[in-house]
Amino acid sequence: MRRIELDGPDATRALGRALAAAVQGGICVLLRGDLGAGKTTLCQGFIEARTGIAYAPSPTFTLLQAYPGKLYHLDLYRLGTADLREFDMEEIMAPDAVLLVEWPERAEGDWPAERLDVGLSGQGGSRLATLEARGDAAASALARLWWPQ
Amino acid sequence: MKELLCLGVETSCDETAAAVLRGDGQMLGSAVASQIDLHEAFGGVVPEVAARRHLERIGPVVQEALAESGVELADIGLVAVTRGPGLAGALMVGISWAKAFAFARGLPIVGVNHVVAHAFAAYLEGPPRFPDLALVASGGHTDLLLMHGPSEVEVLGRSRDDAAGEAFDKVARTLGLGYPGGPAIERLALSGDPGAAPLPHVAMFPGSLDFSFSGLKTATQSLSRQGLAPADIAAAFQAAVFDQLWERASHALRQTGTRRLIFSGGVSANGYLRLRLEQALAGAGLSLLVPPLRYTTDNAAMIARLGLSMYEAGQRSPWDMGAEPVIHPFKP
Repeated sequence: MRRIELDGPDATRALGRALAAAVQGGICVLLRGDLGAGKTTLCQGFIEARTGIAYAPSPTFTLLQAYPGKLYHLDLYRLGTADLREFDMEEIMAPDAVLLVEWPERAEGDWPAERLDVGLSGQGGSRLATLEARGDAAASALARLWWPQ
Repeated sequence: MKELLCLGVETSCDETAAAVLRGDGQMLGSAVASQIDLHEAFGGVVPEVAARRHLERIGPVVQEALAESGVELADIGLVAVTRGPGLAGALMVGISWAKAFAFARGLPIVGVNHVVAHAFAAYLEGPPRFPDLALVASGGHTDLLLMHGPSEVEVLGRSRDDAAGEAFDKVARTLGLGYPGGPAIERLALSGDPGAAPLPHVAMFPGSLDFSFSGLKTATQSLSRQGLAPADIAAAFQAAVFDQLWERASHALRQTGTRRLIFSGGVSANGYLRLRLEQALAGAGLSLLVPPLRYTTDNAAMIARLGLSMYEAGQRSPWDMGAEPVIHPFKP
């Protein structure tokens, strides 16, 4: 497990960009943390690095946003509990797709073996990110993650 | 000559809706079946469940709208349908129904943008006039649109993170209020003092009219943890939302020289925001145009209104029109 201190939203966004450089297709990135913990900000950094879209909208309302390059951003906040079969999982979890998930707790137990669990905690300006890999591909992605400590 | 009748169909998210609009802009009837009861059982919108329910309800909802309008299906001369943004499966139900009906009857069909339609809901109150500036604020969108016509729409600003309505819902949850959050916050704020709960001013982004509500959401959480009264937080949050909407909108009004502001979408049902905007605009010698209250949230009257304007401007959609769940970058 890696622990990374983040001193504000800019650092959270930068971690998203760094993850975008490290994560390859077939990996699911699950983001946990309270409202306002920085999940969407991290995803915005990730999406910007991959697509050049600077301000990806929050997918809370639409549930799922699709981006070029088989990048998907899912937000289960509005669902009490979600059944992932209700989504097109063949598409969003294809071997060459990357899926970012906010509020994965809503569908616990359904996530694939290759995944990165990212926890965001803390209040005010500073945040602590914990990153844990499940599966070999995710582990090597986490090892590739470049972050100045 | 018989007046043209436009049937509007909307199935982009939670609501199955149909409406009949007469060619002179007169609303004849509008029906909306909400899925909120259904989704409460599931704890939210479930895409496939939403699509299946749209499929069951689309027929009865169209019949209800026709009955309210006192017209027959055979009287319809034009079909307008939402093609996006929204949930893919949900959109496809409305589009498939509308195409099948239009094809069978040999009628023209026009696919419309849901967000622009929210702005056009205001034209159910007053006639279209271009250029016009619209602030569309809902659970999924916060867009400042400069409309040169029904299909020529410029996005001057949009939210860089959460939508305004989403912020209302999330702040309501922080304060322990129910869903939907907008009405709950508005009620609670009546007894609150906005000055008692300091929230940061959300500065304009340099060279941009974009919005941001994520910081306000976080700041209200911090105030809540400090133990401030929920009513004061609600009042301060609402005031901060107004400040931000007005700061961007007033800049846009100056930049574009438009003389009025359309305020629409679910957030425009908020009486406090309507009143503050009306006062601020009156102070600048400008006016506010808002849709009738029942057409602020998702409905098909606005779809018919935009579809009719597009049709009058010569627009027709082809038979291979599909759903556009994510319209990004923005296309009218």
